[in-house]
Amino acid sequence: MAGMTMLSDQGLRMDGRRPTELRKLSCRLGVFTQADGSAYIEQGNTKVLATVYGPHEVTGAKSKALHDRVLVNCQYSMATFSTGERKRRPRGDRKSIEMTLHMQQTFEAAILTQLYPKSQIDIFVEVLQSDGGNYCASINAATLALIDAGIPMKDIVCACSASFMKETAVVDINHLEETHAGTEIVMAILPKTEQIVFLQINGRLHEDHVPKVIDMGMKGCRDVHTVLTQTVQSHIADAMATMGE
Amino acid sequence: MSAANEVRAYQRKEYLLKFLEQDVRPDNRGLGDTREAKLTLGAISTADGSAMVKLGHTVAVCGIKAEITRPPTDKPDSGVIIANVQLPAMCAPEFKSGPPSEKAQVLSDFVQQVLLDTGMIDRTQLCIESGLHCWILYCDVICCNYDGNIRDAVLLAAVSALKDVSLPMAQYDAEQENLTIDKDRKRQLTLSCMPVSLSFTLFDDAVLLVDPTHEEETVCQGQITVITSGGDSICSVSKHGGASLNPEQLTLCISKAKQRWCDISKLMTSNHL
Repeated sequence: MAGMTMLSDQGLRMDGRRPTELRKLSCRLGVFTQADGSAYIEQGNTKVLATVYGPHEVTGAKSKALHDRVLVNCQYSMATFSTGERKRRPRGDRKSIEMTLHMQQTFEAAILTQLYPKSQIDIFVEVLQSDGGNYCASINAATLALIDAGIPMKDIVCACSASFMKETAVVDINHLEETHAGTEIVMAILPKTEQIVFLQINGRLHEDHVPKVIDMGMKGCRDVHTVLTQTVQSHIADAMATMGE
Repeated sequence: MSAANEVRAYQRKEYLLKFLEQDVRPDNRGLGDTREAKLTLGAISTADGSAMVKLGHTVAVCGIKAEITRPPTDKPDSGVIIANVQLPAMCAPEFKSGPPSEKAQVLSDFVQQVLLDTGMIDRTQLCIESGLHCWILYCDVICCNYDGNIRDAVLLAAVSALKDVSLPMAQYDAEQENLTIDKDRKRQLTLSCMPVSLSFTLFDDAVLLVDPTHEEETVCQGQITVITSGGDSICSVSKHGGASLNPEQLTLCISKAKQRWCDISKLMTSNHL
Protein backbone atom coordinates (compact mmCIF):
# COMPACT_ATOMS: atom_id res chain seq x y z
CA MET A 1 0.00 0.00 0.00
CA ALA A 2 1.39 3.36 -1.00
CA GLY A 3 2.37 5.82 1.69
CA MET A 4 2.38 3.21 4.40
CA THR A 5 5.64 2.23 6.03
CA MET A 6 5.70 -1.13 7.71
CA LEU A 7 8.75 -0.14 9.72
CA SER A 8 9.62 3.51 10.41
CA ASP A 9 13.16 4.91 10.21
CA GLN A 10 13.20 4.88 14.00
CA GLY A 11 12.59 1.13 13.86
CA LEU A 12 9.00 1.26 15.07
CA ARG A 13 6.13 -0.70 13.55
CA MET A 14 2.74 0.62 12.45
CA ASP A 15 1.17 0.11 15.86
CA GLY A 16 4.21 1.60 17.62
CA ARG A 17 5.78 -1.67 18.69
CA ARG A 18 9.49 -2.49 18.39
CA PRO A 19 10.37 -5.47 16.14
CA THR A 20 10.88 -7.82 19.10
CA GLU A 21 7.81 -6.72 21.03
CA LEU A 22 4.69 -8.88 21.44
CA ARG A 23 1.21 -7.41 21.51
CA LYS A 24 -0.40 -7.18 24.94
CA LEU A 25 -1.21 -10.70 25.96
CA SER A 26 -3.77 -11.30 28.66
CA CYS A 27 -5.43 -14.58 29.49
CA ARG A 28 -7.70 -16.27 32.00
CA LEU A 29 -8.31 -19.88 32.91
CA GLY A 30 -11.49 -21.58 34.04
CA VAL A 31 -13.94 -19.05 32.62
CA PHE A 32 -16.83 -21.49 32.09
CA THR A 33 -18.52 -24.08 34.27
CA GLN A 34 -19.95 -26.57 31.77
CA ALA A 35 -16.66 -27.46 30.09
CA ASP A 36 -13.98 -29.57 31.77
CA GLY A 37 -11.46 -26.87 30.93
CA SER A 38 -11.78 -23.40 29.46
CA ALA A 39 -9.68 -20.34 28.76
CA TYR A 40 -9.97 -16.88 27.26
CA ILE A 41 -7.08 -15.07 25.65
CA GLU A 42 -6.59 -11.59 24.25
CA GLN A 43 -3.56 -11.12 22.04
CA GLY A 44 -3.74 -7.47 21.06
CA ASN A 45 -7.13 -7.13 19.40
CA THR A 46 -7.48 -10.85 18.74
CA LYS A 47 -9.87 -12.44 21.22
CA VAL A 48 -10.26 -16.20 21.46
CA LEU A 49 -12.23 -18.59 23.66
CA ALA A 50 -11.27 -22.23 24.06
CA THR A 51 -13.05 -25.07 25.83
CA VAL A 52 -12.00 -28.66 26.40
CA TYR A 53 -14.18 -31.68 27.12
CA GLY A 54 -12.83 -35.05 28.07
CA PRO A 55 -11.23 -37.49 28.08
CA HIS A 56 -14.58 -39.20 27.53
CA GLU A 57 -16.09 -42.05 25.56
CA VAL A 58 -15.86 -41.66 21.79
CA THR A 59 -18.97 -39.88 20.50
CA GLY A 60 -20.68 -40.92 17.29
CA ALA A 61 -19.17 -43.81 15.34
CA LYS A 62 -17.30 -46.11 17.70
CA SER A 63 -15.03 -47.09 14.81
CA LYS A 64 -13.28 -43.72 15.22
CA ALA A 65 -11.79 -44.92 18.53
CA LEU A 66 -8.06 -45.61 18.45
CA HIS A 67 -6.88 -48.70 20.30
CA ASP A 68 -3.51 -47.31 21.40
CA ARG A 69 -4.09 -43.58 21.97
CA VAL A 70 -6.71 -40.91 22.53
CA LEU A 71 -8.67 -39.36 19.68
CA VAL A 72 -8.06 -35.60 19.65
CA ASN A 73 -11.07 -33.87 18.15
CA CYS A 74 -10.68 -30.16 17.38
CA GLN A 75 -13.06 -27.58 16.07
CA TYR A 76 -11.93 -24.15 15.02
CA SER A 77 -14.71 -21.66 14.55
CA MET A 78 -14.78 -17.94 13.81
CA ALA A 79 -17.76 -15.86 14.92
CA THR A 80 -19.57 -14.24 12.00
CA PHE A 81 -18.87 -10.83 13.53
CA SER A 82 -15.18 -11.45 14.21
CA THR A 83 -13.84 -10.09 10.92
CA GLY A 84 -14.11 -6.80 9.04
CA GLU A 85 -16.45 -8.30 6.48
CA ARG A 86 -19.19 -10.54 7.90
CA LYS A 87 -18.27 -14.23 7.67
CA ARG A 88 -20.96 -16.33 6.02
CA ARG A 89 -20.01 -19.59 7.71
CA PRO A 90 -18.47 -19.75 11.17
CA ARG A 91 -17.02 -23.22 10.52
CA GLY A 92 -16.84 -25.75 7.74
CA ASP A 93 -15.15 -23.48 5.19
CA ARG A 94 -11.75 -24.54 3.86
CA LYS A 95 -9.76 -22.14 6.02
CA SER A 96 -11.46 -23.35 9.19
CA ILE A 97 -11.01 -26.97 8.24
CA GLU A 98 -7.30 -26.36 7.60
CA MET A 99 -6.96 -24.61 10.97
CA THR A 100 -8.82 -27.47 12.67
CA LEU A 101 -6.47 -30.03 11.15
CA HIS A 102 -3.35 -28.07 12.09
CA MET A 103 -4.55 -27.70 15.67
CA GLN A 104 -5.29 -31.39 15.88
CA GLN A 105 -1.82 -32.29 14.63
CA THR A 106 -0.18 -29.83 17.00
CA PHE A 107 -1.98 -31.18 20.06
CA GLU A 108 -1.52 -34.81 19.08
CA ALA A 109 2.19 -34.04 19.32
CA ALA A 110 1.87 -32.41 22.73
CA ILE A 111 -0.75 -34.41 24.65
CA LEU A 112 0.37 -37.70 26.22
CA THR A 113 -2.07 -39.51 23.95
CA GLN A 114 -1.06 -43.04 24.94
CA LEU A 115 -2.55 -42.53 28.43
CA TYR A 116 -6.17 -42.65 27.25
CA PRO A 117 -6.64 -45.33 24.60
CA LYS A 118 -10.14 -45.68 23.08
CA SER A 119 -11.16 -42.27 24.47
CA GLN A 120 -11.71 -38.83 23.02
CA ILE A 121 -10.68 -35.28 23.93
CA ASP A 122 -12.61 -32.40 22.38
CA ILE A 123 -10.98 -29.01 21.88
CA PHE A 124 -13.33 -26.25 20.75
CA VAL A 125 -11.98 -22.85 19.79
CA GLU A 126 -14.10 -19.80 19.02
CA VAL A 127 -12.50 -16.64 17.62
CA LEU A 128 -14.63 -13.72 18.79
CA GLN A 129 -12.55 -10.94 17.32
CA SER A 130 -9.82 -11.38 14.79
CA ASP A 131 -6.82 -9.11 14.22
CA GLY A 132 -4.18 -11.44 12.89
CA GLY A 133 -2.42 -14.33 14.59
CA ASN A 134 -5.67 -16.29 14.94
CA TYR A 135 -3.86 -19.61 14.80
CA CYS A 136 -1.34 -18.59 17.46
CA ALA A 137 -4.01 -17.21 19.80
CA SER A 138 -6.11 -20.34 19.29
CA ILE A 139 -3.21 -22.65 20.14
CA ASN A 140 -2.32 -20.60 23.22
CA ALA A 141 -5.94 -20.54 24.39
CA ALA A 142 -6.39 -24.27 23.77
CA THR A 143 -3.19 -25.06 25.71
CA LEU A 144 -4.52 -23.14 28.71
CA ALA A 145 -7.89 -24.88 28.44
CA LEU A 146 -6.13 -28.27 28.35
CA ILE A 147 -4.16 -27.31 31.45
CA ASP A 148 -7.40 -26.22 33.13
CA ALA A 149 -8.94 -29.59 32.24
CA GLY A 150 -5.93 -31.33 33.80
CA ILE A 151 -4.92 -33.24 30.68
CA PRO A 152 -1.28 -34.40 30.81
CA MET A 153 0.95 -32.82 28.18
CA LYS A 154 4.65 -33.00 27.40
CA ASP A 155 4.93 -29.25 27.83
CA ILE A 156 2.94 -26.03 27.48
CA VAL A 157 2.54 -25.55 23.72
CA CYS A 158 3.27 -21.93 22.78
CA ALA A 159 2.59 -20.43 19.40
CA CYS A 160 3.74 -17.17 17.83
CA SER A 161 3.99 -15.60 14.40
CA ALA A 162 6.83 -13.63 12.83
CA SER A 163 7.55 -11.78 9.63
CA PHE A 164 10.36 -10.11 7.74
CA MET A 165 10.21 -6.50 6.65
CA LYS A 166 12.89 -3.96 5.68
CA GLU A 167 15.68 -6.48 6.38
CA THR A 168 14.37 -6.91 9.92
CA ALA A 169 12.63 -9.86 11.52
CA VAL A 170 9.53 -8.84 13.47
CA VAL A 171 7.49 -10.87 15.94
CA ASP A 172 3.72 -11.39 16.53
CA ILE A 173 2.29 -9.63 13.49
CA ASN A 174 -1.19 -8.11 13.42
CA HIS A 175 -3.74 -8.25 10.63
CA LEU A 176 -2.43 -5.19 8.81
CA GLU A 177 1.12 -6.54 8.82
CA GLU A 178 -0.14 -9.98 7.81
CA THR A 179 -1.78 -8.55 4.71
CA HIS A 180 1.01 -6.17 3.70
CA ALA A 181 4.29 -7.77 4.72
CA GLY A 182 4.05 -10.54 2.14
CA THR A 183 5.59 -13.23 4.25
CA GLU A 184 4.43 -14.78 7.46
CA ILE A 185 5.75 -17.61 9.54
CA VAL A 186 3.61 -19.32 12.14
CA MET A 187 5.15 -21.68 14.63
CA ALA A 188 4.31 -23.62 17.75
CA ILE A 189 6.99 -24.98 20.05
CA LEU A 190 7.44 -27.03 23.19
CA PRO A 191 9.62 -24.51 25.06
CA LYS A 192 11.32 -26.84 27.53
CA THR A 193 12.92 -29.00 24.86
CA GLU A 194 12.85 -26.26 22.20
CA GLN A 195 11.09 -28.65 19.84
CA ILE A 196 9.08 -27.25 16.97
CA VAL A 197 5.70 -28.96 16.73
CA PHE A 198 4.26 -26.76 14.00
CA LEU A 199 5.86 -24.49 11.44
CA GLN A 200 4.45 -22.85 8.38
CA ILE A 201 5.98 -20.22 6.13
CA ASN A 202 3.59 -18.39 3.85
CA GLY A 203 4.89 -16.11 1.12
CA ARG A 204 8.33 -15.55 -0.36
CA LEU A 205 11.34 -15.34 1.90
CA HIS A 206 15.00 -15.55 0.94
CA GLU A 207 16.73 -18.68 2.15
CA ASP A 208 19.35 -16.66 4.03
CA HIS A 209 16.68 -14.90 6.08
CA VAL A 210 14.81 -18.03 7.15
CA PRO A 211 16.95 -18.76 10.27
CA LYS A 212 16.63 -15.13 11.42
CA VAL A 213 12.85 -15.21 11.18
CA ILE A 214 12.60 -18.62 12.83
CA ASP A 215 14.84 -17.38 15.66
CA MET A 216 12.51 -14.41 16.08
CA GLY A 217 9.49 -16.73 16.12
CA MET A 218 11.19 -18.92 18.74
CA LYS A 219 11.88 -15.85 20.87
CA GLY A 220 8.21 -14.85 20.55
CA CYS A 221 7.11 -18.32 21.63
CA ARG A 222 9.38 -18.17 24.68
CA ASP A 223 7.92 -14.78 25.62
CA VAL A 224 4.42 -16.18 25.23
CA HIS A 225 5.52 -19.10 27.43
CA THR A 226 6.52 -16.69 30.20
CA VAL A 227 3.07 -15.08 30.19
CA LEU A 228 1.20 -18.40 30.02
CA THR A 229 3.24 -19.87 32.87
CA GLN A 230 2.55 -16.81 35.02
CA THR A 231 -1.18 -17.10 34.31
CA VAL A 232 -1.27 -20.78 35.18
CA GLN A 233 0.72 -20.21 38.37
CA SER A 234 -1.49 -17.37 39.58
CA HIS A 235 -4.61 -19.37 38.68
CA ILE A 236 -3.39 -22.31 40.74
CA ALA A 237 -2.41 -20.02 43.62
CA ASP A 238 -5.96 -18.56 43.59
CA ALA A 239 -7.51 -22.02 43.49
CA MET A 240 -5.33 -23.15 46.42
CA ALA A 241 -6.31 -20.07 48.40
CA THR A 242 -10.03 -20.77 47.96
CA MET A 243 -9.49 -24.41 48.88
CA GLY A 244 -7.82 -23.35 52.10
CA GLU A 245 -10.79 -21.23 53.16
CA MET B 1 -17.73 -39.60 45.26
CA SER B 2 -19.43 -38.26 48.36
CA ALA B 3 -22.99 -39.34 49.18
CA ALA B 4 -24.40 -35.90 48.34
CA ASN B 5 -22.68 -35.86 44.95
CA GLU B 6 -23.94 -39.36 44.25
CA VAL B 7 -27.54 -38.26 44.83
CA ARG B 8 -26.85 -35.20 42.71
CA ALA B 9 -25.60 -37.33 39.81
CA TYR B 10 -28.04 -40.24 39.87
CA GLN B 11 -31.20 -39.03 41.65
CA ARG B 12 -31.43 -35.51 40.35
CA LYS B 13 -35.08 -35.04 41.17
CA GLU B 14 -34.68 -36.21 44.77
CA TYR B 15 -31.66 -33.98 45.10
CA LEU B 16 -33.60 -30.88 44.05
CA LEU B 17 -36.58 -31.90 46.21
CA LYS B 18 -34.37 -32.00 49.32
CA PHE B 19 -33.53 -28.35 48.75
CA LEU B 20 -37.03 -27.22 47.78
CA GLU B 21 -38.44 -28.71 50.98
CA GLN B 22 -36.30 -26.13 52.80
CA ASP B 23 -37.47 -23.33 50.45
CA VAL B 24 -34.00 -22.94 48.99
CA ARG B 25 -32.30 -23.97 45.74
CA PRO B 26 -29.02 -25.83 45.20
CA ASP B 27 -27.18 -22.60 44.35
CA ASN B 28 -28.36 -20.97 47.60
CA ARG B 29 -31.12 -18.88 46.01
CA GLY B 30 -34.67 -18.51 47.26
CA LEU B 31 -37.39 -19.89 44.98
CA GLY B 32 -38.21 -16.43 43.61
CA ASP B 33 -34.67 -15.09 43.25
CA THR B 34 -33.05 -14.52 39.87
CA ARG B 35 -29.34 -14.95 39.28
CA GLU B 36 -27.11 -11.92 39.01
CA ALA B 37 -27.08 -10.48 35.50
CA LYS B 38 -23.94 -8.87 34.09
CA LEU B 39 -23.74 -6.90 30.89
CA THR B 40 -20.78 -5.68 28.84
CA LEU B 41 -21.44 -3.51 25.81
CA GLY B 42 -19.20 -2.91 22.82
CA ALA B 43 -16.47 -5.41 23.72
CA ILE B 44 -16.04 -6.57 20.12
CA SER B 45 -14.63 -3.84 17.93
CA THR B 46 -15.01 -5.71 14.63
CA ALA B 47 -18.80 -5.76 15.12
CA ASP B 48 -21.06 -2.75 14.56
CA GLY B 49 -22.68 -3.44 17.90
CA SER B 50 -21.98 -6.09 20.51
CA ALA B 51 -22.94 -7.25 23.97
CA MET B 52 -21.91 -9.97 26.36
CA VAL B 53 -24.45 -11.20 28.88
CA LYS B 54 -23.80 -13.32 31.94
CA LEU B 55 -26.78 -14.76 33.74
CA GLY B 56 -25.22 -16.64 36.59
CA HIS B 57 -23.01 -19.08 34.71
CA THR B 58 -24.90 -18.81 31.41
CA VAL B 59 -22.90 -16.71 28.96
CA ALA B 60 -24.13 -15.37 25.61
CA VAL B 61 -22.29 -13.07 23.23
CA CYS B 62 -24.11 -11.12 20.52
CA GLY B 63 -22.38 -9.31 17.67
CA ILE B 64 -24.21 -7.30 15.05
CA LYS B 65 -22.83 -6.78 11.58
CA ALA B 66 -24.44 -4.28 9.22
CA GLU B 67 -24.37 -4.70 5.46
CA ILE B 68 -26.03 -2.94 2.55
CA THR B 69 -28.77 -4.76 0.70
CA ARG B 70 -31.86 -4.13 -1.42
CA PRO B 71 -35.06 -3.51 0.64
CA PRO B 72 -37.74 -6.22 0.57
CA THR B 73 -40.15 -5.66 -2.33
CA ASP B 74 -43.23 -5.50 -0.11
CA LYS B 75 -41.62 -2.92 2.18
CA PRO B 76 -39.38 -0.69 0.07
CA ASP B 77 -38.90 1.83 2.91
CA SER B 78 -37.74 -0.68 5.45
CA GLY B 79 -34.48 -2.35 6.42
CA VAL B 80 -33.94 -5.95 7.42
CA ILE B 81 -33.02 -7.58 10.73
CA ILE B 82 -31.96 -11.21 10.89
CA ALA B 83 -31.44 -12.93 14.22
CA ASN B 84 -29.50 -16.14 14.54
CA VAL B 85 -28.68 -18.09 17.69
CA GLN B 86 -25.92 -20.66 17.84
CA LEU B 87 -25.56 -23.36 20.46
CA PRO B 88 -22.11 -24.66 19.52
CA ALA B 89 -20.68 -27.88 20.90
CA MET B 90 -18.42 -25.83 23.18
CA CYS B 91 -21.25 -24.57 25.40
CA ALA B 92 -22.32 -27.82 27.09
CA PRO B 93 -21.37 -31.50 26.95
CA GLU B 94 -24.74 -32.59 25.51
CA PHE B 95 -24.56 -30.39 22.43
CA LYS B 96 -23.09 -31.95 19.33
CA SER B 97 -21.21 -30.20 16.56
CA GLY B 98 -22.89 -30.13 13.18
CA PRO B 99 -25.81 -28.26 11.65
CA PRO B 100 -27.92 -26.08 14.00
CA SER B 101 -29.96 -28.17 16.42
CA GLU B 102 -33.73 -27.91 16.74
CA LYS B 103 -33.27 -26.03 19.97
CA ALA B 104 -30.99 -23.46 18.32
CA GLN B 105 -33.45 -22.93 15.48
CA VAL B 106 -36.35 -22.44 17.89
CA LEU B 107 -34.27 -19.90 19.82
CA SER B 108 -33.34 -18.04 16.61
CA ASP B 109 -37.01 -17.80 15.71
CA PHE B 110 -37.89 -16.65 19.24
CA VAL B 111 -35.37 -13.79 19.13
CA GLN B 112 -36.37 -12.82 15.61
CA GLN B 113 -40.06 -12.72 16.56
CA VAL B 114 -39.45 -10.60 19.65
CA LEU B 115 -37.24 -8.10 17.80
CA LEU B 116 -39.81 -7.66 15.03
CA ASP B 117 -43.19 -8.15 16.76
CA THR B 118 -42.61 -5.86 19.73
CA GLY B 119 -41.96 -3.00 17.33
CA MET B 120 -38.90 -2.08 19.41
CA ILE B 121 -37.11 -0.90 16.32
CA ASP B 122 -38.65 1.16 13.55
CA ARG B 123 -37.11 -0.47 10.51
CA THR B 124 -37.58 2.59 8.31
CA GLN B 125 -34.51 4.08 10.01
CA LEU B 126 -32.47 1.34 8.31
CA CYS B 127 -33.58 2.51 4.89
CA ILE B 128 -31.08 4.54 2.85
CA GLU B 129 -32.95 5.01 -0.44
CA SER B 130 -36.47 3.70 -0.88
CA GLY B 131 -36.56 0.55 -2.99
CA LEU B 132 -32.81 0.65 -3.68
CA HIS B 133 -30.57 0.47 -0.65
CA CYS B 134 -31.07 -0.36 3.00
CA TRP B 135 -29.11 -1.77 5.92
CA ILE B 136 -29.40 -5.39 6.89
CA LEU B 137 -28.48 -6.14 10.49
CA TYR B 138 -27.25 -9.66 11.20
CA CYS B 139 -27.65 -10.31 14.92
CA ASP B 140 -25.60 -13.41 15.67
CA VAL B 141 -25.81 -14.69 19.22
CA ILE B 142 -23.36 -17.35 20.39
CA CYS B 143 -23.95 -19.22 23.60
CA CYS B 144 -20.55 -19.81 25.23
CA ASN B 145 -21.66 -21.56 28.40
CA TYR B 146 -25.06 -23.16 28.79
CA ASP B 147 -26.34 -23.18 32.35
CA GLY B 148 -30.07 -22.87 31.89
CA ASN B 149 -32.49 -20.07 31.03
CA ILE B 150 -30.84 -19.51 27.68
CA ARG B 151 -33.89 -17.62 26.35
CA ASP B 152 -33.48 -14.71 28.72
CA ALA B 153 -29.75 -14.59 28.09
CA VAL B 154 -29.91 -14.58 24.27
CA LEU B 155 -32.74 -12.06 24.15
CA LEU B 156 -30.97 -9.71 26.53
CA ALA B 157 -27.77 -10.07 24.50
CA ALA B 158 -29.57 -9.31 21.23
CA VAL B 159 -31.51 -6.32 22.60
CA SER B 160 -28.48 -4.77 24.30
CA ALA B 161 -26.33 -5.29 21.20
CA LEU B 162 -28.96 -3.47 19.14
CA LYS B 163 -28.78 -0.66 21.67
CA ASP B 164 -25.02 -0.55 21.12
CA VAL B 165 -25.19 -0.46 17.29
CA SER B 166 -23.64 2.52 15.59
CA LEU B 167 -24.09 2.65 11.83
CA PRO B 168 -21.89 4.65 9.48
CA MET B 169 -23.66 7.50 7.70
CA ALA B 170 -24.77 6.46 4.22
CA GLN B 171 -25.91 8.83 1.49
CA TYR B 172 -27.33 8.05 -1.91
CA ASP B 173 -26.80 10.44 -4.80
CA ALA B 174 -29.70 9.83 -7.18
CA GLU B 175 -28.17 11.80 -10.07
CA GLN B 176 -24.85 10.00 -10.00
CA GLU B 177 -26.49 6.77 -8.84
CA ASN B 178 -23.77 6.54 -6.28
CA LEU B 179 -23.87 5.32 -2.68
CA THR B 180 -21.30 6.83 -0.31
CA ILE B 181 -20.60 5.54 3.16
CA ASP B 182 -18.89 7.78 5.65
CA LYS B 183 -17.26 5.50 8.22
CA ASP B 184 -16.08 8.41 10.39
CA ARG B 185 -19.57 9.67 11.08
CA LYS B 186 -21.80 7.26 12.91
CA ARG B 187 -25.32 7.26 14.25
CA GLN B 188 -27.10 5.19 16.87
CA LEU B 189 -30.43 3.46 16.35
CA THR B 190 -33.57 4.75 18.02
CA LEU B 191 -35.31 2.02 19.94
CA SER B 192 -38.89 2.64 20.96
CA CYS B 193 -38.89 0.15 23.80
CA MET B 194 -36.76 -2.49 25.41
CA PRO B 195 -38.28 -5.97 25.67
CA VAL B 196 -36.96 -7.95 28.63
CA SER B 197 -37.96 -11.52 29.26
CA LEU B 198 -38.14 -13.57 32.42
CA SER B 199 -38.49 -17.34 32.32
CA PHE B 200 -39.81 -19.79 34.87
CA THR B 201 -40.13 -23.52 35.15
CA LEU B 202 -42.36 -25.78 37.21
CA PHE B 203 -41.22 -28.50 39.56
CA ASP B 204 -43.73 -31.29 40.17
CA ASP B 205 -46.65 -29.28 38.75
CA ALA B 206 -46.58 -27.03 41.78
CA VAL B 207 -43.39 -25.16 42.63
CA LEU B 208 -42.56 -22.21 40.43
CA LEU B 209 -38.82 -21.68 39.93
CA VAL B 210 -37.61 -18.42 38.43
CA ASP B 211 -34.51 -18.20 36.21
CA PRO B 212 -33.76 -21.95 36.36
CA THR B 213 -30.26 -23.38 36.06
CA HIS B 214 -29.49 -26.21 33.66
CA GLU B 215 -29.59 -28.71 36.51
CA GLU B 216 -33.08 -27.56 37.49
CA GLU B 217 -34.35 -27.47 33.91
CA THR B 218 -33.51 -31.13 33.38
CA VAL B 219 -35.84 -32.30 36.17
CA CYS B 220 -38.60 -29.69 35.81
CA GLN B 221 -41.40 -29.51 33.29
CA GLY B 222 -42.68 -26.67 31.21
CA GLN B 223 -41.32 -23.29 30.44
CA ILE B 224 -43.09 -20.00 31.08
CA THR B 225 -41.69 -16.86 29.51
CA VAL B 226 -43.10 -13.40 30.12
CA ILE B 227 -41.76 -10.49 28.07
CA THR B 228 -42.41 -6.96 29.27
CA SER B 229 -41.32 -3.65 27.85
CA GLY B 230 -41.60 -1.27 30.78
CA GLY B 231 -44.58 0.24 32.58
CA ASP B 232 -47.63 -1.99 32.36
CA SER B 233 -47.09 -3.27 28.84
CA ILE B 234 -46.65 -6.96 28.30
CA CYS B 235 -45.23 -8.01 24.94
CA SER B 236 -45.70 -11.72 25.16
CA VAL B 237 -46.58 -14.52 27.52
CA SER B 238 -45.86 -18.08 26.56
CA LYS B 239 -46.12 -21.37 28.34
CA HIS B 240 -44.85 -24.54 26.78
CA GLY B 241 -44.58 -28.11 27.91
CA GLY B 242 -46.00 -30.62 30.36
CA ALA B 243 -46.88 -29.03 33.67
CA SER B 244 -50.01 -26.93 34.15
CA LEU B 245 -50.13 -23.48 35.63
CA ASN B 246 -52.88 -21.84 37.68
CA PRO B 247 -53.96 -18.21 37.18
CA GLU B 248 -52.47 -17.02 40.48
CA GLN B 249 -49.09 -18.35 39.44
CA LEU B 250 -49.40 -16.56 36.15
CA THR B 251 -50.14 -13.27 37.90
CA LEU B 252 -47.06 -13.83 40.04
CA CYS B 253 -44.97 -14.49 36.92
CA ILE B 254 -46.13 -11.23 35.35
CA SER B 255 -45.42 -9.13 38.43
CA LYS B 256 -41.95 -10.68 38.71
CA ALA B 257 -41.33 -9.99 35.02
CA LYS B 258 -42.21 -6.33 35.55
CA GLN B 259 -39.76 -6.14 38.44
CA ARG B 260 -37.14 -7.80 36.22
CA TRP B 261 -37.60 -5.12 33.59
CA CYS B 262 -36.80 -2.42 36.15
CA ASP B 263 -33.64 -4.26 37.28
CA ILE B 264 -32.39 -4.81 33.74
CA SER B 265 -33.23 -1.25 32.77
CA LYS B 266 -31.06 0.00 35.63
CA LEU B 267 -28.26 -2.32 34.57
CA MET B 268 -28.40 -0.94 31.03
CA THR B 269 -28.32 2.71 32.00
CA SER B 270 -25.38 2.10 34.32
CA ASN B 271 -23.58 0.49 31.37
CA HIS B 272 -24.29 3.34 29.02
CA LEU B 273 -22.77 6.02 31.24
